[in-house]
Amino acid sequence: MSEVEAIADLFPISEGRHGMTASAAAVAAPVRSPHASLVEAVRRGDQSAFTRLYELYGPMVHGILLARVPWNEVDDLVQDVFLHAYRRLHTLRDDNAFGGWLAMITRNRAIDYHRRSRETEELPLDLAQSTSNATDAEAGEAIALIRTLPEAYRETLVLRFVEGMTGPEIAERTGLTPSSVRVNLHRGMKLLREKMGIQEGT
Amino acid sequence: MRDDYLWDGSGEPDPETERLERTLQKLRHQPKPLQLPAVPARRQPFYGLAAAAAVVLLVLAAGTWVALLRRSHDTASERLLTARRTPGTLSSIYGAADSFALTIDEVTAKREANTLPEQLTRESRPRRVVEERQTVVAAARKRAPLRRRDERLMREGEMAKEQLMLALHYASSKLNLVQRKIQANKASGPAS
Repeated sequence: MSEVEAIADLFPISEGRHGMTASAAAVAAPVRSPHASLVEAVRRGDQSAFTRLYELYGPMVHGILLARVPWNEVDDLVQDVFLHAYRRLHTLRDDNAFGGWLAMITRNRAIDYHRRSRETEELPLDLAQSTSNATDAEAGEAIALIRTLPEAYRETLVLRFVEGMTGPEIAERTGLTPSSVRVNLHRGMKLLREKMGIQEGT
Repeated sequence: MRDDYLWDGSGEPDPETERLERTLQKLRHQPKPLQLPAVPARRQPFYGLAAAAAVVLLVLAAGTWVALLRRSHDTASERLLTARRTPGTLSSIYGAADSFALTIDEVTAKREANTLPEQLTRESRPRRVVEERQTVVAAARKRAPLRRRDERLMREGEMAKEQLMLALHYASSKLNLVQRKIQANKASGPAS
């Protein structure tokens, strides 16, 4: 789908039979998140349900943090975010909105990290990993390049390329609309290609 | 780059995208065991806290209300007692007809009803009143504790002003009476 089609999907013009667009109807209908039952189980004190949520949403949290903070801090911050979410789960009003709520906690944690920590220089990837080679350095360069993009694009691209999530998965986990994710992916990739010096269509 | 591949991984990727994806996969999340605290936070403590806060507020409001009631009662009683504590002052103004001690309210009521006695002499009664008030104020100053002195002085000042105004009113009434008598005498002619 082209960018124009993606934007058109964001602002649908044609109307359905009852004067409501298909997208609007989808929004109006109550959507039950597949993971809401897990949230409900955690509320009842089931810790294994939260472990399952950690497995499901760990990549999202990791990706959002990787797009914002030095990579060597990300693992600790992931743990922080989940512990915070566990303690504050009673403040979540809608179990279906767990993904968006967790994404917001993660973004706030990244902001908090930059506010509290002094300016530090990020270690190169191959310094800390035992199997240091040229590919590690390349990954470091690629992630550094992605971090130069606007925030919305870099987050979506990291989730797509680092965590291997598809567009619909990103939308479902983060609470963003599929149209927004699609536009962010397309525009972010275009900007990244420009920065990498790759010609469009090659 | 194919848009379908970027969106959902279907279709053919272009070589650059495939290479980028393969490179960045090395940074993928590798979950570590999560150490959770024993019990998650519950919502119930909030209700307990709210109930406790409501009880404290109610007690405070009741205490304030009772204190205000007592204070207004004390002030009214004190004003009445202060007025009655100086019986000679007011009764001397009204003459023999008023042999009992009058309160401020009674004096005010009399003044408004214009029933003040007019049989006052021209003696220097206003001056006597002022002197008496000054004596009372001086005595009160000695008796009153220092912290209540200003408040008491203010009350005494109001009393003194009230009585001074009464004295002036009586002096004026007396003067009018004398003038009327003189005019009446002139009209009836000289006594033989």
